[in-house]
Amino acid sequence: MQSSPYVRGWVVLLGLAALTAIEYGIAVTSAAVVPMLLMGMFKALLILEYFMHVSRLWSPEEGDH
Amino acid sequence: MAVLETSTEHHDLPYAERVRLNRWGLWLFLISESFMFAGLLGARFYLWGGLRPELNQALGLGLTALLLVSSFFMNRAEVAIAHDDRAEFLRSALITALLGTLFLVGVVGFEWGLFLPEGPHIRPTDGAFGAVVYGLTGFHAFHVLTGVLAILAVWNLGRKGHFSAERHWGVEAVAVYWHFVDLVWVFFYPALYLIGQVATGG
Repeated sequence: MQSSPYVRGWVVLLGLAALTAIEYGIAVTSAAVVPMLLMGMFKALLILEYFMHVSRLWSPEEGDH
Repeated sequence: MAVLETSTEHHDLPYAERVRLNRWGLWLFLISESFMFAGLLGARFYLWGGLRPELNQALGLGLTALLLVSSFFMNRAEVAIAHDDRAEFLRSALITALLGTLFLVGVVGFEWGLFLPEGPHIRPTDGAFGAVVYGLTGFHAFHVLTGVLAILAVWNLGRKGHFSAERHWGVEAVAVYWHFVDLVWVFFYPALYLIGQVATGG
């Protein structure tokens, strides 16, 4: 049963893949450093919030077990 | 004696409170780790400036994809155990460990050239380029190795019936550590493979 609990993971994976593709595209076209670092920052935010659950530090009731 | 009393008091705490404290402890450890990785990144930008060595782009992209997909499966394993889906937890944790192992094979076997008949195209002794490539990938690969071992440890415990929807701090801790390893690579990948012009003529 592939239902809702796993959907968020798929969405985050697609987001990370898209940002990586954009990052690579920037590298081979313009090699501009700031946009590449921005893509990295966006990827880091996705991982921190949705995979590492950093907000649980401040609101432990969410996802508590 | 005071230490023993403190320890006993800690174990008397409700499980949720212990998890809250453990979470802070883990994050403080990760913050201390990030200082080391930030130092390595700083060394890369100081020593290389606007240049970089010619590395295998397909390999760099492939390694990045492996780690991102492994993070997806680690998250899936954590979600599964939080929903008491033990079979999915065991499957996803094992896939994560496998992807992490493939990442290690990619770095050590191909980026470091151990599996290449012609040997490595860049060596640790090749000045600033070699030192930074091996320093960054070496420290990161060691963390991947420890992460894979930790994942296999929680997989084995899960196989024996440990962890439940209500109590799975061990799984959460390993998952957060694994995602941290992925997070570090998010910055190492562009720093090593994408940023700067390829240096020519040695």
